[in-house]
Amino acid sequence: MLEVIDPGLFCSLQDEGRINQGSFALPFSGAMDLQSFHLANHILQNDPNTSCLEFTSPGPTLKFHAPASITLTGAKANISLNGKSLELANNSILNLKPEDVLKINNLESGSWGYLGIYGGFESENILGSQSLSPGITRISSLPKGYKIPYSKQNLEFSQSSAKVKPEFPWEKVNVLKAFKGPEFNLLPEDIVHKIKKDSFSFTSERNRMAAPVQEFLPENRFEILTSPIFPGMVQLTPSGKMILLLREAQVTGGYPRILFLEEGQLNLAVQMRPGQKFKFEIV
Amino acid sequence: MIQVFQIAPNIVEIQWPKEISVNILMRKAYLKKQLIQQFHEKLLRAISGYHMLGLYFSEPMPSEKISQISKEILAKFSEGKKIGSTLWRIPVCYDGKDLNNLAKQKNISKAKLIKLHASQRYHIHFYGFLPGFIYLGGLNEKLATARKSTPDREIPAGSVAIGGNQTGIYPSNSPGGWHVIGRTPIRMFDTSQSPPVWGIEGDMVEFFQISEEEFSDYLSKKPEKVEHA
Repeated sequence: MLEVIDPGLFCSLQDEGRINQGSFALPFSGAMDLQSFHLANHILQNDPNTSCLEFTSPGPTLKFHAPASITLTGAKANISLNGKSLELANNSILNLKPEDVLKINNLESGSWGYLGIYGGFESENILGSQSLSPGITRISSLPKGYKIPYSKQNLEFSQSSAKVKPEFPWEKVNVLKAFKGPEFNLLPEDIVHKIKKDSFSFTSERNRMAAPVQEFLPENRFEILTSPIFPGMVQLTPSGKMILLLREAQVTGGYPRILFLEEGQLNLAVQMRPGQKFKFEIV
Repeated sequence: MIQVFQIAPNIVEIQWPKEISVNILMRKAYLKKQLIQQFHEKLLRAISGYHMLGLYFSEPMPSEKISQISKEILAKFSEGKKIGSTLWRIPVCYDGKDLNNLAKQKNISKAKLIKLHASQRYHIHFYGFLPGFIYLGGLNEKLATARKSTPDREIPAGSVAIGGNQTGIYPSNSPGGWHVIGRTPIRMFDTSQSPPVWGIEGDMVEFFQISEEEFSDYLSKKPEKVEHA
C-alpha cells in the first residue's frame, strides 16, 4: 500500500491512456511524456502500459507500507528518503522497506517525472485505462491521505540488470518540428513569416490539457466551426495566442489548428521549462 | 464534396464544406460507421466536428487512400438510409438558474421559452467538450444566445443549457459558458455501462417537461427510446 502523505502540486496515476476511446469525447489522457513513462516500465521489466505515478514540481511525499522496487524517470528530482537527502540517479532501481517515506522535492530538469513500481499500482480500470482524468474517474489527482495498493512487493532486482543512462534530451531542444495544421493555409503571409522566423517559449500556466505560448502572433479573425483536435496540435486564438494541446485536451475545439507536432516532439515539449526558447521547423 | 487532409502520417481529416447541416451530419455518421467497420482496431479514433471527421490510425495512412475509400463509401449513401432512426426522449425540469434572465432577454414568457425548447427535435451532431457531452443542432432560432463572456465556475451535471445556436446537457460538473435553463435526471455518461453513453451521432433527441416532484422518478434511468420511421 502506497499512502500519499502530501500530493505536492499535482500528482496523478497515468498509463498510456484511452487512445481508442474517443467516440464519446474522452480525452487521450495518459502520461504527458510517454517516452519517460515507458522507460520506467522497461527498467522495472513491467508490461509497457503499467500505470506509474506522474508528478510535477514540487513533487509528492509518499509512504510505502510494504516493500517495493521503484524507479524514477523523466524530470530530474531532488529526493529524500526518511528525511535524509538521497543521491538517486534517474533510471536506477531503489528497493524500499515497509514504512519508508520518499519525498520528491523540486525538479532540477524537466517538468514531469514518473515513479514506476515493480508490478504496477492496483486501481480501477475505467474504459480501458487506469489514467486519472476529469469527468471520467472520481478523482483527477491524488489527494492527501489517498492510498493505492500495489501488486508485487518483494522483488529484489540486481541494480545492473536494466540500467539506462539518464538523459534529459529536452534541455538541448531549441527546435520543435511540426507539420502544417488543417488551417495553416488560411494564415496570411505575415503570420506565417513570424511562425517560421520568431523564437517562442511556453508560459508557466501549464496543466495537463494545454501549454500556452508566451509570445503572441498578430491578432486575427479566423473562425472555424467546432472541429476535431488531437494532442500535439497548436491552436491560434483571435488574440494571437498559440496553445499547444496536451494529452488531457478535449477532443474538439473551435480555434484554428495551425500546426501539429511531429511524433516524439510532444514528449520533449511538455518537459521544456517555461521560458526555454525554441523555433518551429515546419516539415 | 469531400477533401481529405493529411495532419500527420497516421492522422487524416475528412472535410465537408464549412456549414452546420443535417445533410453533412448524415453522410459523416454513415462514413464514420463504415470506416470503423472496415479498419477495425487500426482506426484508434474517429472524432467528429460539424463538418470534419478526424481519423487517428495506429499506422501510417495516406490521405489518397482514405479519400478513395471514403468516396466509394459515400457513393453508396442514399438519403433513405436509416442513419439516425432513433429518437430519444429526455425529461427536463425547467428550473435552470438562467431561465428567468433568458426569457427576459428574449422578451418572452418562461412558459413560451420552455415550449420552444421542448417542441423541437434535435440531432446529435457529435460528442465533444466533455466526456459524454452531445452537441445538439436544431435549436429554434429565437432561442439562440451567445455564450456568456465570463463562464460560470461550475455548472452541475445534468444541466440542460443553450450556447450559440445549440443546446446540450452537461454530463459532469464543469465550468461552462452556456445558459442553464433546466436539469435532467438522465445520466449522460456512465462509466459502468458499455458504451458509457446511450446515443450516437445522427440520432435525434427531444425534451419533455417534468415537474420537480417527478424528477426522482427518472433518476439513473436511460431515456425512452423511440424507433421512428
